[in-house]
Amino acid sequence: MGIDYDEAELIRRSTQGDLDAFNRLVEQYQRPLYNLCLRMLASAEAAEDATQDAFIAAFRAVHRFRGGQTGGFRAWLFRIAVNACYDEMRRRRSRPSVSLDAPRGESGRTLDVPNPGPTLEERAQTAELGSAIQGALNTLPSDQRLAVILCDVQGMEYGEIALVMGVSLGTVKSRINRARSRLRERLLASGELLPSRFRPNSGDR
Amino acid sequence: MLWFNKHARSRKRLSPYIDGQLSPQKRTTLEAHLAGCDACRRELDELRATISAVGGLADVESPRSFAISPRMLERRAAVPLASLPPLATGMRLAGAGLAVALAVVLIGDLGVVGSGDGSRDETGAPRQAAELRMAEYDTEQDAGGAPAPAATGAVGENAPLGVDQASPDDVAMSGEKTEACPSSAGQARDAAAAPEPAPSAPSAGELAACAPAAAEIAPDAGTPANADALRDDGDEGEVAAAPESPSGGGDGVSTLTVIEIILSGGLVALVGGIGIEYILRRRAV
Repeated sequence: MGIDYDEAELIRRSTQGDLDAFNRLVEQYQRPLYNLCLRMLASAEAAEDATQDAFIAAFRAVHRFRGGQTGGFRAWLFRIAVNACYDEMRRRRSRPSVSLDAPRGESGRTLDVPNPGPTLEERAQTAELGSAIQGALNTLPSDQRLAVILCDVQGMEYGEIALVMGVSLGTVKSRINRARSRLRERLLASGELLPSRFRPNSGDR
Repeated sequence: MLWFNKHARSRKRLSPYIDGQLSPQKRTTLEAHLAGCDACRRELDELRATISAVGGLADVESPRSFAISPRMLERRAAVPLASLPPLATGMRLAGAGLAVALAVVLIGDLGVVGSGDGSRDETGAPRQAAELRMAEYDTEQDAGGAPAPAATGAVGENAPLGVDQASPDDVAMSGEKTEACPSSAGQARDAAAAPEPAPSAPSAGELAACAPAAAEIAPDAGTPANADALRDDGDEGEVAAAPESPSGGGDGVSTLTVIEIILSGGLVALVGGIGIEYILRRRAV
């Protein structure tokens, strides 16, 4: 995406406090960042807040960014966005909202920050956004959800995911592995996965 | 069983296999297993279908520009601070309150001794004198004028509070220790009662030399609790005059001590809290 040399130059200028240069980077990255937040938070409104917060936090911290290489910048930016998502989850969880019922199943099984329960409005949005698949994503623990979104939605390599998540390659591997297994089970259970060929035998495990 | 293990291992490797993350050797092993295992082959297909389903989630257009305006930077600068206060302000207030309370109690403690000396010396004696020194002064005065071993034996059950409640043996021993440095005991008295804010260096040094003796007099003398207990009795030599007083005085002191301990605990908790908040804030940036 974009011309690499340009980006390096824009990053360099941004580190010196050039807001215009940084805003050109924002233009380049707002779509993937927004989509990451959207899939993590399953709410357009929350995703907008998180994306904006992430860019603002990134601009504030960009003078500390080292290493002009492009891949490094993307991972760095995504990492900030991930933090913004976790903050947004925390904020929404602490704010009592109309949480009718979270997607059933995983709640309480893990210690991480659960996805905020969807409001009616958010459910309608979720329906637009790929319904069952987003619903299945929502049931994953957030670290697994993040891993599988980065890998299968954003198309990142394991190495870059490790940078974004701040964990080892092995952890990335096992999170993606577990996330996909669970998603597979859920999608099989809800009949989303290849209806004709596999469904009759889906109970073999 | 061997087959089952191999099977389980193979299933774990399906996902990395799809992503091309297996070493050539593991890949060959897995492919060999897949050739003979329908269940694994089916799972592989299902995983592939899952991945493409997830990957097929719409890539949504950004709903608006997220470009940052200078005004946004100002406004947002205030937001994080404004959104934190409920907890942070409360903690700071609580902390300030705790610190003041602790300071009051400590000063009050020293003040009690100071006024005790003040009966002889209106200028209020050296309030700046370190607590240890005072404790030693009181210890010596107490031990020197503790002619009531029987009475202390009676209160012996309330053990943790030190010399006044020590067993007769301890008191006898304390007598010896006191004699071991009688001159400094005298100087201690002088130093504590001296009108000058700063006691002379030599006597302070000798007091320090006497510290082991004081410590042995009261096995627990290192703790503030004992300092308090000793101090109370040290005033006007009440131990000799009224044998019952130690237990009453001890109770009052122990309440004070408990408060001090609680306040200190609160202070530690506060410092920890501030540390955690600091870390959280740093992480948030």
